[in-house]
Amino acid sequence: MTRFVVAMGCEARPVIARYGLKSVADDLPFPVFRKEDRWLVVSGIGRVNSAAATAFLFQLSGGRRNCGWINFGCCGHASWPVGEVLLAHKLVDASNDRSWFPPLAFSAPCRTSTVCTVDRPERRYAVDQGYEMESVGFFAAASRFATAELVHCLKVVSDGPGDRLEQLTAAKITSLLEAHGDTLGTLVTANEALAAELLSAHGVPAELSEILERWHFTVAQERQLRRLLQRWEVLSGGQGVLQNLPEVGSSSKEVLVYLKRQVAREAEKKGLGEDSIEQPAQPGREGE
Amino acid sequence: MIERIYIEREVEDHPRTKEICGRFPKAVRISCERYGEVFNRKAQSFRLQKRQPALVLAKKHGATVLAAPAGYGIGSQENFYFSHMLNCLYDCRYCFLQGMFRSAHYLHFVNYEDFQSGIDEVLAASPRAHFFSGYDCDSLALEQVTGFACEFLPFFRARPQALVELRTKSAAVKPLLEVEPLANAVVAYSFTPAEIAEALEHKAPPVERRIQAMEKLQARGWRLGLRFDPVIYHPSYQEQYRQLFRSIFERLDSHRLHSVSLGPFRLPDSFFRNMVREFPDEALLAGPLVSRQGRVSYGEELEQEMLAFIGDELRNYIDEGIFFPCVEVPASCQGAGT
Repeated sequence: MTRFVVAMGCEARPVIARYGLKSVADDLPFPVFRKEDRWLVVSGIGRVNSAAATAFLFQLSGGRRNCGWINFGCCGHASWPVGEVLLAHKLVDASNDRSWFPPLAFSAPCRTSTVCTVDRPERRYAVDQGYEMESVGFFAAASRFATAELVHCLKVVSDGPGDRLEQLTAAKITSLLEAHGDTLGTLVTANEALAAELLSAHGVPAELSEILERWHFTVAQERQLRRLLQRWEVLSGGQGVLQNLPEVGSSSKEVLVYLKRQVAREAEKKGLGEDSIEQPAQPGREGE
Repeated sequence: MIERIYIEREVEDHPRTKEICGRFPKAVRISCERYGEVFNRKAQSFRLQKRQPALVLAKKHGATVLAAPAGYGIGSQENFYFSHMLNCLYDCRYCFLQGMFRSAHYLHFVNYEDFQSGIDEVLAASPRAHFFSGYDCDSLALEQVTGFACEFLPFFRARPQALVELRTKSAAVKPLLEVEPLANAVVAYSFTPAEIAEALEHKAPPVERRIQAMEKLQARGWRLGLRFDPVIYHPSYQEQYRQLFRSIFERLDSHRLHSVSLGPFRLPDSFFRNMVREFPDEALLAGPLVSRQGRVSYGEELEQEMLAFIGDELRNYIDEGIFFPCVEVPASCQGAGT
């Protein structure tokens, strides 16, 4: 469950090869590759392209929240040698000095550094940090679709002060990125473990869609239903509740009353309390 | 332990910042303008950050000492709290911090001098005020990082009319054993029965180790408190609490205790909602809790039954004069912490 965003085809090649991704279609606004639940989009250069491609990939890949998002590519660095790999711990937008701090919920698979997103290739390297042209756009967009712990920028240093960018060929970039396939793999594995934890905790209750098909619920009732089913799953250890529902009558209200009773009974059996009382209503999950 | 330290630019040169950074020479240091850029931003997950919290070093602006919520006290009418740190080393599933913050980083305010000025301002008006330090964090759990007790105990030693409570679950009491005990400090330990602690108090020292730590502190002459707050239900809660009290009071001299308090499991509605959002798969939060008057707790009848039973059991061991049950808890009283 990873979404890769890269700026150029030469940056995509190592990822495509490593994960066996295949082109999705020819007529899309951005080239997209996929295998199972790993997707990659080639955004083009620049923060706006990166943000647009990130949003496009989110929709195209099913609009599922809290997948892992990784921006993989090359960057310049004021002091690090060519070929070094870095994970961004701070992103700076050079156009307005705004900063973002991707939270790392795992041990970084490589050294970490500040990365500054600029609008033109950097020549001055005034601050000791990485320089590239996409990360800020990518991060701002992707962190709307996933909690920030799942959104990361992994960069390989391709140039530095005094280097001539004209000499930086596509083949060289691919080669530099290929050399850090294992670092990428470690990051993907760690990120997917986090995403899996959230998916497991926040997954849609197994019987929600079937119940919604059989009874009509208002938006508020649907929230109640979702939480009741979550509670039921936690308390019953994943047992189904649906087989008994036809007996409860025809209205959604009756379904909710029935579920509340079942949850209270199960809670009492588990020794969590004896009263059958409602918890406060849950608002919709953020962004939903 | 700490792999990353975020540092507010304003405190980069603060001596405490340098001292703390010196303890973690391998940690990556990342500068920020204000801690709000890192801590509690939208699109953050307390649950995921708790796997590997970073340290944030910042300056506390504005009021450093606040009035404690009603119902929070151990014998004084003038109760205040101050938080040199937000968040905790431990991961107790009932703790309100997981509902209060989106971020699990340890946010440490290094400007102790401003907290101490704030305390002195309060003392100018209320010389016998009580101060609670373990409200938004555990007072001692990160002592090796913060040096909090080492800094504040001498401060309170010089203000003998005031009283400070260090509330904790930490078994690392060496810094306290190495100094002369203060007459106006209370080291207050939080307990739930061992079975509950094992299930819900992740990363915290087991009950037995807390009792051992208390034994050492009492032997050294420290004044101790016991905090049974929050009370967590279990069908066998009566036996569980009886057993807990036996374990504690056969090892500690109850006549030398400073205070014992008792409080129900309660959370403001909004914190509860946030906790459920983070931990929908936690059985404690899936149980039959009730929302009333802006707070979530067990049903009134069960809550009263538990508090009455546990209170009666406690009275078998302690004098009424040192017993402080949490009686009236408005929604603003944020409930179960350390």
